[in-house]
Amino acid sequence: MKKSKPLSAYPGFSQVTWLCMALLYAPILVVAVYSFNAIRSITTWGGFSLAWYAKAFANPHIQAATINSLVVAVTASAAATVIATAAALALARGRGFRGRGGVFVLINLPLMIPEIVTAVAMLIFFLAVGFQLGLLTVIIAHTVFCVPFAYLPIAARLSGIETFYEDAAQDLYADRWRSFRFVLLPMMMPGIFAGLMLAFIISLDDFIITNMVTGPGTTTLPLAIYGMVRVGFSPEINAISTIMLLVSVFFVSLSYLVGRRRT
Amino acid sequence: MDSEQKNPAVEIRAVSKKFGRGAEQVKALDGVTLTIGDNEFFTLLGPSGCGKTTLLRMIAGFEQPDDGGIFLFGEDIKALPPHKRPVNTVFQHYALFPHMTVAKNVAFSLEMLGRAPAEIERTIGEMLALVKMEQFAARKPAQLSGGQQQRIALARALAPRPRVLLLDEPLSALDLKLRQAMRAELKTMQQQTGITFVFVTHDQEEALTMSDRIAVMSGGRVRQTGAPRDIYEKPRDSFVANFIGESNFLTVTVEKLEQDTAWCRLDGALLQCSCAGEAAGFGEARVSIRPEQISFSAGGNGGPALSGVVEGLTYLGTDTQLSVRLGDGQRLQARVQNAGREQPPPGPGERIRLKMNPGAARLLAD
Repeated sequence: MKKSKPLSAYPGFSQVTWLCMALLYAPILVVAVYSFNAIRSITTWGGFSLAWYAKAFANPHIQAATINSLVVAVTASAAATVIATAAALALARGRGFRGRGGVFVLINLPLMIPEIVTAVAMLIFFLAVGFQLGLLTVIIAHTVFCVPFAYLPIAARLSGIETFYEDAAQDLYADRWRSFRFVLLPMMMPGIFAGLMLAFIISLDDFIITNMVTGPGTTTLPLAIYGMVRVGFSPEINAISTIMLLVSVFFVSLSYLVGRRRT
Repeated sequence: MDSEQKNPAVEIRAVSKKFGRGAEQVKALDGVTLTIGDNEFFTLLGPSGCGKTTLLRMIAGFEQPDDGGIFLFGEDIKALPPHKRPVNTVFQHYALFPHMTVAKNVAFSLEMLGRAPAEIERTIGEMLALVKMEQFAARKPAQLSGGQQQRIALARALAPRPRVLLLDEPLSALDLKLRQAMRAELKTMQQQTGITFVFVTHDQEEALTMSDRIAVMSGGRVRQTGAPRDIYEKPRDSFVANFIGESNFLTVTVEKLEQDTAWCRLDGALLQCSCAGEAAGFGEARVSIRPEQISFSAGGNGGPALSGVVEGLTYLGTDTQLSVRLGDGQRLQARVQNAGREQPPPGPGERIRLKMNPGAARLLAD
């Protein structure tokens, strides 16, 4: 077979690469850099300062929004992870049932549906059943859209675990529950943890659905940032954004590393 | 106790099992009947897909027979789930729990059975000593070599002192040297513990060296059951003769039948063959004879003794194998040891006189 040329040998390869990288990361870098600006400008550098971080931490609106965001993210990601784990087990280990393939598609479909459609649908649903919009509706909505994100790493992990481990457990006098509790569940744990982290970040970042299903007075961090931007730019927004960025990068990396870990 | 002595360890009665549906349906087991005695080292031998693993999984409780019964020391265990059967399995890929230490793996069954902590501690020590792995108690399975994992899998399966130990090709993942060493150890361990071993393998050498009795399986059926010597020297049909060791298959005419001897005509010569009685009939039949049961000398002129022309020679180290064509056109392989022979072996084209050890040729059932 003809050996193909390495990609980097084509002319212009490194230029295109650097251009793409710049387009992706330069704006984010600018946001992060100006969060340390000493003056109230997001375009002119006036020296280094942590003042905007101090201001952001002291802002009662941001404090309330952060607490809401964390409550929603923790509750919704935990609930979504439990549902996703159950779904993965049913699909991978349950006795063959009709419509297995269909269920798999239905679990993953929300990843492809435009978020605005989901948002509108959820809003209409909550109004139709007479749910009062507020923190609870946000948590319910987040739980729903986090399920496919939690499902992916859990299902990937589970599919890598051979069934003979459960056979061995049952052969060694563990009933079905104890074979799950002491053998399968611990072996699935890295996948479950990765799914939980991913769901947590997806929930923390969400804007469109949250904006649609939240009630008056209930604000999450992305909504609070959007509200502030509409009033006018200040490096305070950069500071909050940078912190959110770091939190996201941390959890996504953690999710990736734990999900890949071999037992 | 009396009833236990009367009852075999495992009894398989007319068990059948089908997998799949419609056109893709496969008969994994087709009316299998077997009796495995207490304290026996019993081997299920056959090529992949012959149903041996399905049968083993059925004894363990992972598969349900469509038909027939499975009895353990006289008790019908068909309705018992795997965790209620007093049998344990050494799995082909060991299936050691990767998140537990060696000691925890060995202790698992005892903890599930709710044994006292002191007893569990003691048993862990005994089992690790049995497989000579005491110093590895705190290791995780991933930190062990294949052979060490094998030993731990054995210790784990023996820890609850099962009545019957099932072994599913436990040596197939080991390299040759280790495999040979483990054979001897497994055999010793079986004799020491007195536990009935049911061993599944596709390796005929493994089966011959370790087993008290072997059941040769193919196509979901048991072709022959017997001691290694019987299986090798008195194969029932061409499948058994072919699967175990090398064999010559020759077409003969049966002329005279005695109790377990058949006199057969081959290329003018009369051969004394052994037969099972049930299979025998007059007329054309097939016999199997092992290459090492045929000796030869120079000369031969087509008289009453069998003779043939050497077509080729293959040097095999300890032996030399001769390819010989008989007067009626049939070909056979003869094998002689190289050590202690004074004359050089005959060359190609030479005519030689062949002698088959009396009774060494086996009249086949098919």
